[in-house]
Amino acid sequence: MKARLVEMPALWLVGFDFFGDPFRSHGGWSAENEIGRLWQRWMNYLETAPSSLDAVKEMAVMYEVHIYHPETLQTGELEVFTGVEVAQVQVMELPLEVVVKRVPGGRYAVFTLTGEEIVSDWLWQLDTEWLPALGVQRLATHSFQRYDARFKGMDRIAESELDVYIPLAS
Amino acid sequence: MADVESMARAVDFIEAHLQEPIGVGEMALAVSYSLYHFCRTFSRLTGHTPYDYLMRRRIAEAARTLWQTDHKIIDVALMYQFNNPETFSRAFKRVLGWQPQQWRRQARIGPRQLMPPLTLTHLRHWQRCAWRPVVEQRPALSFVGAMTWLPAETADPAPAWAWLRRELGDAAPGPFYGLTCGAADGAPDVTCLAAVADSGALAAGRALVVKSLPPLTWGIVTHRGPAGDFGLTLDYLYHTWLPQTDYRPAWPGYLESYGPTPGRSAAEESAWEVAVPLVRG
Repeated sequence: MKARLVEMPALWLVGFDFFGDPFRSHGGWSAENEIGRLWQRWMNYLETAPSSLDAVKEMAVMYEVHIYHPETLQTGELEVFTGVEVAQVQVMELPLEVVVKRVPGGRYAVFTLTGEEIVSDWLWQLDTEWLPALGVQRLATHSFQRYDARFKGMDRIAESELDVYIPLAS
Repeated sequence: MADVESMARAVDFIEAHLQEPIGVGEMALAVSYSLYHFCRTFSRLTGHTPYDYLMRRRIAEAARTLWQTDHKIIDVALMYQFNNPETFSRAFKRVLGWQPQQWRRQARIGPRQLMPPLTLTHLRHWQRCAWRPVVEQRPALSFVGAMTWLPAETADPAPAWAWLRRELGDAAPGPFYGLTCGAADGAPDVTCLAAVADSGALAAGRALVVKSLPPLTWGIVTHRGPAGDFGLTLDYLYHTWLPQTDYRPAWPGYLESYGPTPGRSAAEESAWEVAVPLVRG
């Protein structure tokens, strides 16, 4: 696992959103759970209507954002967003089914997960080992994963790499 | 420690805190998992989200307390962490299909009414069976067999199978079926038909009965493992899978299809189909 600290501006993302327990229908890494279905819906949308998203910076880079709400610790429900970064947001021109998410800028710890690390409980390791080793504390508000060409898919997880971004307390 | 043992520990933690204000975050912490990984793993191995399991078990134990004691409904609601009687009644009706007042007046608690606590044995059985439940319409069925009464559904129906063998001899080599029917009033005893599929001709001149079932919708799983674990399969069907569907049992019973072996086998590697009759709602 590689780690670095970065200062980054806010990200403007457009995509699809879900709130609830993403594992209600299927646990594990099943593509049939709500996160898998969210990704499927989003990828299908991109295939059929890419021209409606002409402000996309880089179509090959995808984001999955997890947003923790007040009830998350009580019920396990959270918000999950999947989408792409856009250079500018022209909200009025966005298709009805697409939502905008502004991910706050600031100081982030970026961890590069490789192979089986991606499907492990890296968040627990992060809280108990990695962040204490860096001498930083995370904000319990959100986190996001950045999928680029290094991520080969769940069926080729051993060859894959994934960056996770953790917001830090100042 | 393997995930399945960790999730069994998480269940133990939940069971020990049904009357305390715990959340999913505390459950995850109790077994040293991140919240996200815990929710994913718990759902995968138990078939319930952690919060759903907590709420269903709270309702089950609250229902037992209501039936066994004279405590006021509001006191039982508060005991199991429901903030007000309305929330409690809504959750109670959703899980059990009764209002708490009505529940209290019933004569007995039926054998499949209250969700039991899951155990490590359940979770290991879940893994072995790798459930893939399906809902299927099947045409009318007709059976010929020997019927017996059992004091509980897990009792051994061996006498019925011995009777069937004696009456049929080599006349019908199988496949064999077991039809278990419970009482509508929730009494624990059941009737069990040890049978073969037949239109009725086989019954002529034999001390056997004919039983026909109309075309029905069935919820079907494959039980894997010895007969002694069959109760775990019923726990999965009635308390984990069915509550997550739009169906409820059409009547209190189920049909087992054993294939060429008559009756439930005690062999570790045995497998047979279990089907529950369903109706919408």
